[in-house]
Amino acid sequence: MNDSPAKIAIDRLTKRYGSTLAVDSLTVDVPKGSIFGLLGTNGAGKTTTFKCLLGLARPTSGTVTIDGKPLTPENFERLSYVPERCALYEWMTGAQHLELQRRSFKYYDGRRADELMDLFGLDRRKKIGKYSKGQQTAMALVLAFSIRPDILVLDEPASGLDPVHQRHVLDLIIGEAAGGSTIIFSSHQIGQVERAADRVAIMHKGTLRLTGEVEQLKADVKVVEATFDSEAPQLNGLGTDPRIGYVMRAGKLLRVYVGGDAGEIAKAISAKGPRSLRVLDQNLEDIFLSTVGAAPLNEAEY
Amino acid sequence: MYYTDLLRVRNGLFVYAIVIAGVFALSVFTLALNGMLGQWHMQAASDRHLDLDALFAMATFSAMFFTFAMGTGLSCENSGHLPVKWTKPVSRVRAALTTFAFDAAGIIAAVALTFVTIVAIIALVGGASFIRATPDSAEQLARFIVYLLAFYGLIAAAGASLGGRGRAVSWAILGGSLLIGGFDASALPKPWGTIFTLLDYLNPMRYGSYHDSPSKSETIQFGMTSTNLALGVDIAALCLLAAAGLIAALLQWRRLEA
Amino acid sequence: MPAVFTVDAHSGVPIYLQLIEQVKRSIALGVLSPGEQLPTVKQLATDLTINPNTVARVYRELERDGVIETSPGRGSFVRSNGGVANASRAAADVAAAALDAAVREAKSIGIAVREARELFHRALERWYPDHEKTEDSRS
Repeated sequence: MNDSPAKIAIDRLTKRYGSTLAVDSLTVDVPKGSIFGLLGTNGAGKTTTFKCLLGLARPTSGTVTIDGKPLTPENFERLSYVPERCALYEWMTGAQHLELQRRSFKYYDGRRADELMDLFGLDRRKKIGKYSKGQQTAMALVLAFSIRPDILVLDEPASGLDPVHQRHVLDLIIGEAAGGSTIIFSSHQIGQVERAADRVAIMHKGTLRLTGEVEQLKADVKVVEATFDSEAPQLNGLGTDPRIGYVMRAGKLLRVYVGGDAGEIAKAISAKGPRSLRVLDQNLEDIFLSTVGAAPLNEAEY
Repeated sequence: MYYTDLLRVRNGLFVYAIVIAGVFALSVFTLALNGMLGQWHMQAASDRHLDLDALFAMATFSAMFFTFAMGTGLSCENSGHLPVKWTKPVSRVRAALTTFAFDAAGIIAAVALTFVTIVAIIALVGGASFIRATPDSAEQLARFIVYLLAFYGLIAAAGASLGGRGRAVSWAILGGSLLIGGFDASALPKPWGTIFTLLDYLNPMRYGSYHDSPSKSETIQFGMTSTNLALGVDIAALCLLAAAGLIAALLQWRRLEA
Repeated sequence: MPAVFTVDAHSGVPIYLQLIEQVKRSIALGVLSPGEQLPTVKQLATDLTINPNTVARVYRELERDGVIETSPGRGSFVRSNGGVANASRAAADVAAAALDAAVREAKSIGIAVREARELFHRALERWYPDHEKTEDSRS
């Protein structure tokens, strides 16, 4: 753990809208240069988290800091935001938006903007209102990348884009990160997060369910699957092992989701005399589904 | 940062200019048909004058419609554009003040544009020589400008927290202003009479009336009521209304969530 | 850079492990020669569309395993002395692990030792068609 503050530090962030608790005590650190993926179903609190991060909404409690300090307008010289829904002015043209960017931000790079406009095939003379949804997303991305940001906050950056352009977006994100920028993005497309993100946080109904390095989670979280000759047995004492996150029993089949040393758990289960036993890898989608679809890790269901 | 406001006001003025040009063309056409162009054909009156103040009043009346359309600057931003507007290296307050400044400039430009058009029409019927300034012409102009800004302030305050519905609020204020003036003028029984009289103190229309000079025999009112106070008091009251409205709008703006 | 790596981001096996194995394999097979330069971290990350930190980690581990060496400012290169040997040894480890997993799987399905050996010989026969004959006569 190094001494310099995390690029983005979210500490016990809570946001309440009336009686609804949109975000509940979220604590997450995004290190500098990281590509951080925020995963969750609709209503999990991802967009609300971003809004609190950017000063668009006020937290009910908890803090958000950037480089150890609260957000100020100056941060936005090098911070880009692409919201989920198009926030651009539908009555202005693409060219006018680029001009707005040029006049508003110190580090605007006109050449980069032009390259990106061509990359996504956008007609700068058309009004934003006449763009398709995918083109609007692309335009927002062009504007975001054109100011050479240090921090990028992207909410569903691929929505409405065709696969070719989605790939471009991923490439751009990776290119930025390789240049030292910090990126936090949310996506429904777990495959994208799996490729590009080095860290991930899984939210569900406002709470943080799981966070860690993607590679580490894949290495750690396994499923021990055993079949028995008769009804799959109870785990009894073994079930209290904190490494076990979730247990599924279906007739003769027993599946134990393990976050930790799966080998030991596998050995313990093989002592119960299963017919077959194997240890399965979990990709990010599996991890997500078992985290969100079932009880959160560390809450067992026997 | 100001570029959005610049474009918005410019586009608004452009539309307004087209409307004014249309009215101008129509007027000239009608006058031409009636053979009134060129010389002054109306009743000869050696002491007939056209006060500048009256022309200012006419220009202001027309510009009211522009003001009501422009007054929704903040609420337009609030219909989904805040994620763009508020993620710039400029504080919310400064952004709002910039919007106010540009809108105010636009309103003044609208008045100027209308005034020029009116003078042009008068010149075409040979009446240019009748136009004269009065000692308080400049102050009257100031009063009319602040009159519009007072309405702008009220609209901004009413619509700051609203999104797309802000436009409707704008016209509702116009309607409300007329109604309040009307009720106040009708001298209703208490307590209604008192209530409307009090409300009318907040009604910019009340302070926008113009007294014909030098005899002050005629009063031209925008609404149903007028004050019999000094011009300076009218201006002060309107300034207060404008400031109160803008401050209320700013305070809401600061608390708003996207 | 002749070597083309592919990774399955969707696999449950961490990308960094996949990539480490692929690089070692390429070196062991001679696809990457001793002294040859590897792509930069940024280059490889962009080509494969994977996180740059993952690539950086791969290079760190490869260096730790004595397979590559990195000089700051110049880049990463296949180690001239011992690089190939280290890579080959690692590649052999992968094969050993695969065999171990296969035997474990066979046992867990309930296959007897004799049958398992039969399967093994059949596989050898298939993939080492020339050598199998000489050794079979001895067993």
